[in-house]
Amino acid sequence: MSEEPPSEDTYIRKFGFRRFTGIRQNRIYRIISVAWFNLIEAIRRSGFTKMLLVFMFFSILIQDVLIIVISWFLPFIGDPITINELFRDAYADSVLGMVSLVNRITVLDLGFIGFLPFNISAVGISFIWLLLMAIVGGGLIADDRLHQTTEVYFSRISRLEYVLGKLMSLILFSTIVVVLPSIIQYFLLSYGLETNLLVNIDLMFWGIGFTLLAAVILSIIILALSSVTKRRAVATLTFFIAAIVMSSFYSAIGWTQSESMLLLLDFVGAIALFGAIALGYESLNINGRDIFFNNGIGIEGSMVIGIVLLVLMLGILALIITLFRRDS
Amino acid sequence: MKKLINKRISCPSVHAMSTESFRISDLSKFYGPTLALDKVTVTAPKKAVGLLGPNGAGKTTLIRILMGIIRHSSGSGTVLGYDFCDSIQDIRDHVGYSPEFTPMIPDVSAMKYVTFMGKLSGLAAVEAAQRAHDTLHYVGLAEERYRPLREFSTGMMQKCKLAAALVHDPDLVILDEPTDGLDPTGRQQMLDLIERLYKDEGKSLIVSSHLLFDVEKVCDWVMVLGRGQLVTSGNMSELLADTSGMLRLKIVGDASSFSRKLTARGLEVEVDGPFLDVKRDNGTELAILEEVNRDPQVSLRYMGSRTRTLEDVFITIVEGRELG
Repeated sequence: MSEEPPSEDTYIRKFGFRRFTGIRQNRIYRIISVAWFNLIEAIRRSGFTKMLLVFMFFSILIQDVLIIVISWFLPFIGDPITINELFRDAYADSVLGMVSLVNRITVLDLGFIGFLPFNISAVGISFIWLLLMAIVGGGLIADDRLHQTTEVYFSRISRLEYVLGKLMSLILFSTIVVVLPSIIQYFLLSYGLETNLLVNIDLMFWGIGFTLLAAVILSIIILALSSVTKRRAVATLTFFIAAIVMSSFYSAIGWTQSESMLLLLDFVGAIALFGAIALGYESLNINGRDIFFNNGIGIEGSMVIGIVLLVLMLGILALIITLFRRDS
Repeated sequence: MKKLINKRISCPSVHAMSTESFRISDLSKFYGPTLALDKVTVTAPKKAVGLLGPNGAGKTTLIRILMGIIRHSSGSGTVLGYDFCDSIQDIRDHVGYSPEFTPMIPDVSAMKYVTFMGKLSGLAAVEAAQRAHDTLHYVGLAEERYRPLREFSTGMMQKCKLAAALVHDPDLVILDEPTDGLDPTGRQQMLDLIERLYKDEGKSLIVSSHLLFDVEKVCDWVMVLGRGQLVTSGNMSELLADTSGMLRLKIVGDASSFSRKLTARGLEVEVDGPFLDVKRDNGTELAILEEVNRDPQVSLRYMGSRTRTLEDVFITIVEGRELG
């Protein structure tokens, strides 16, 4: 039996079109595909993002090493708080510092300066995180609109899946950049202060929940900005500058009053205040001044919660208006 | 949320057995105050369907409604038997769409792009990658599949769009202006590919184009839109059939002299370039043959029914209608 020599046509038939007989994956798989593809591509194509990530890695490393080193060289005195209270305050302070920009929001009494250096480092992380979010998130929808890629997305997945995928990519990114470090810090601080890991486990879940909440809110805002423009630079700069400017009002103008309402303009700081309230703190130290959430003067806890919800709602509304308008 | 975590969808669906590409009824679409589609009702068979119309006729609007990209204002319809209000996700899984413009993710390779499109249509990662290789081979981009899309020419991008439309093995492929911006060779290659898809792979097609030759070459059923309304629809052969009752001749020799001789015999003759069109009647063919035999300077090369091109039909029905 002779075999016919392969021709160009047989090559095309061999590697050419085949019928698909497999099984299609569910809708969540498609959302994850959007998230993963966008996350990888956003990081891959920007050298500046990679550089910032390296910088952030070292910031986190320094902060985490500081936790242990400081705990060695500044022995705990034991008065007026216990080692466990110190652990809780120090950890909460460190995590809150990751989500505050210009205003120094702390649950520690600043008279006790033992853990101040790594809180400054945490504020540095918040700057880099915000900048990274702005760079990565600014182009997520704006680039699709510019290159008309939204048309091919919407011919395969729904708008809700599209938005969820994009949101998930930013949340995944934040998970690597802040949620994971907050978990690592919990273990390192516990190791450094020699506290029982399980006693304060609620604090770790708070850290995860708080950083995730901050990631979700900031992701929605940056996505909303990205959806109203076709220029990624516009979305990136608007987000970053707005965050810095809004958080600067309190320290620049409202410093004379410790409970000035201008603090509520700091929408990033408001998330940190919300986190502290969720953890049960009734007072905080902001830029060296104490504020009380339930004293009926100035900023109240309900206002902080209201501002966080308002920012979240505005972001969702902007996304809905621009993306779910199916005539566009 | 329940919709998002539905169980895996088996393929192919029973709806794929539908005999229609799409069926729309009283479909209207307003963009603000502008009426883009005006109560269009049509049933398109599972064939190679040509969607014709001048610019602004509503072709792309109709396609975008069929794909669920935009919402229609009123009316109803199905694609491959799936209702496009209730089963839009099923439609998207079983229809491949290559848009008119070039959607791009500039920094990714064709391979990554097509794989990603496969994943968006529900293919598992390995399957999507394998099928991306296959479809890129199929459209002739095997060598270029690892090059970033920003380096692609218009012709390569058209092929890449086609590969992306095919990667999930759709039952129906919608191609919006598939030969737009291509040089003659690229255009011919693209038309050959589309023809192969229809004839060899058994895909149903909707080809939207304002290039009538393209549609005439690959489609066997057409619908013509004009100012948002359905002007006509039907089989290509029926549309192109000549209803004027003229007989077309091609002769070698003095055509005008021969035309006068036929007129002298009482025949109605029109000269159309190298052709003579003669009004057909009883004994017309015999009279022509007698005249050819009588005149040694003339020889007959062709005698048959006059055929129309799609361009003739289009001009008659669309432009004539607009003049009216």
